[in-house]
Amino acid sequence: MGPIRRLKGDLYLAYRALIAHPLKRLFSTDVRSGKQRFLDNYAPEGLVPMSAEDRRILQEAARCIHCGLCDAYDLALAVISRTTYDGASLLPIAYSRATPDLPRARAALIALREEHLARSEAVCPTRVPLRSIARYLHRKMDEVIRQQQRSAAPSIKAPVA
Amino acid sequence: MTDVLVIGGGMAGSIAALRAKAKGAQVILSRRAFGATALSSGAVDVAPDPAAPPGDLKSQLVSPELAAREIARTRPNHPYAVLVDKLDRLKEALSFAAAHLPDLLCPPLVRNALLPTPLGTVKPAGMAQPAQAGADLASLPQSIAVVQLSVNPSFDAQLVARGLERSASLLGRKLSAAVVESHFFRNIEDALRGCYELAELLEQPGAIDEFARDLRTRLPEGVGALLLPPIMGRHGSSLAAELSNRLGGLPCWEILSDASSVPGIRLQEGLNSALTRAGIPVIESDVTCSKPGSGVFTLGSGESIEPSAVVLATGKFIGGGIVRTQRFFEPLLDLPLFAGSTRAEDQYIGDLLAENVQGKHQAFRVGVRIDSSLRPLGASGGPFDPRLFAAGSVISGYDPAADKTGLGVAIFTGYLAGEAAASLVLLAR
Repeated sequence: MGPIRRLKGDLYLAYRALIAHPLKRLFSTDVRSGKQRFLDNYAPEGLVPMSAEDRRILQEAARCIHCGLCDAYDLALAVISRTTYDGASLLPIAYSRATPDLPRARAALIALREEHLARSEAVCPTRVPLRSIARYLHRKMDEVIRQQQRSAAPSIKAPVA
Repeated sequence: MTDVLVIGGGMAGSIAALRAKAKGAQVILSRRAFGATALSSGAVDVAPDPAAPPGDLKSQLVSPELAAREIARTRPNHPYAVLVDKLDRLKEALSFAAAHLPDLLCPPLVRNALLPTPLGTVKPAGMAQPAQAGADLASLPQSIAVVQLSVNPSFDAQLVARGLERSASLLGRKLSAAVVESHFFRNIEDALRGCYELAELLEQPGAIDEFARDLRTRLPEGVGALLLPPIMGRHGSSLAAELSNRLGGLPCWEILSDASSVPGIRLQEGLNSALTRAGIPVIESDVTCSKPGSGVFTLGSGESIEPSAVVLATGKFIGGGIVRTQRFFEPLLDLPLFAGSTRAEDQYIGDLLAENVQGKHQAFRVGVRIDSSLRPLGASGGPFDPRLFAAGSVISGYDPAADKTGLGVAIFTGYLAGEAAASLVLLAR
């Protein structure tokens, strides 16, 4: 990028930050916070805010090399129907990929116990923290469902286009 | 008191620990988790003939020791080349492993066996599990059948059958491979089960009888042997033999596995049992060393120990012995790493990878360099620490998977490293 184009870009950003945005806020009738507007827009689709801790867990999930060793020691497979739950490897490689899909994994996540995953986590060659991921997924699933229920309530404003 | 600390509990670490213990040392083994051994085919690839052109299977029917010597002659960075003066002990090391895994590994083979893989290829192996060893392409009868489970789409018996026929023709022999579909697993849930679960179900009381009954009705006339998917027992490898008994003595053999691997898990659990039988404590935790060269290591419990000798058998990328994030590094002691004869740490990854998949990917050969006593070399070119030895795929110069010497090198270097560590301790006493 040349210096002139860069200067133009910086000036435009400064205009947005120092003039356009404050003026827009000054004359806006929308009193909602940024986070609330984000939730109103995206929570009905299952997209919820991610904290730094959430991102850290997802980075650890990304260490999974899909070897399937955790499934060999997953005690949950003995007690949960295969049509509901298909093994610990699903936690890092499937369930944690997209929060909008978490409500569909509800039955599996509710049936899953941390103690089921202890041995799976111990044998994992890349030390994927399966139990932390399970806790994260539970938390996010509750959050998604809660937000979706709230969005569906008539008192909540319709999502902003 | 700990004489020898072995770090890593795959094939190399376990054999090192067993050898050091057998020599009279007090041994502790610490491992982070399972590694590549548990993901292996379950057979031991010792040495293919490096001079054989692709597709020349006859050349692979060679003694693994001779092939190892040829590798040592032609590839100067390979661990077999560095340890060439000790190669006459290769068979001794393999026999030691077989003796400690009596139900799991046959004694070393006189010549490489060409064992079928799920991809329809054959793999030269110098040792194998009893259920696998008989599937050697060179000794299979002319008419065989490959079993397809109706619920197991990840295993393609057609691919195996056609691949074996083709490989047999390359070997100059005629082979006819039929596919037999078994409906033993027929529940809707079974279709969703992984290999480990199917293997456990076959171990249930009466399951093998029912499996045999199902197969008996479907076997074509004149079949001389049956090849089975690699799910013949999660905890032991006797199911194939039991099935053979129930089929009137028809030889039944298990095909090698890719990952996820039931035979690989059997091998890893067999090693765990061998360590327990030998009375070697296994600690499942990371080991750290705050001051490399000090000889003081901290176990996961926080306990610091200063062993008289250490065997580093932490594996490569799967085991975590070598890590690459931006650059290559050895996480425990920050040992210098090599790709071939040059330092690897800051090399551009693109320079270490070949453009085609089957090319020589130096990145997978990155590891610590050793001297002929298995001591990792430091930055100065001399041993990093005279009390430190290395074994298995943490050593540079070979790609454990692509070179088809993975578990063979693990056993050989583990055996020698364990012995060297114990000898050092016993000398100091």
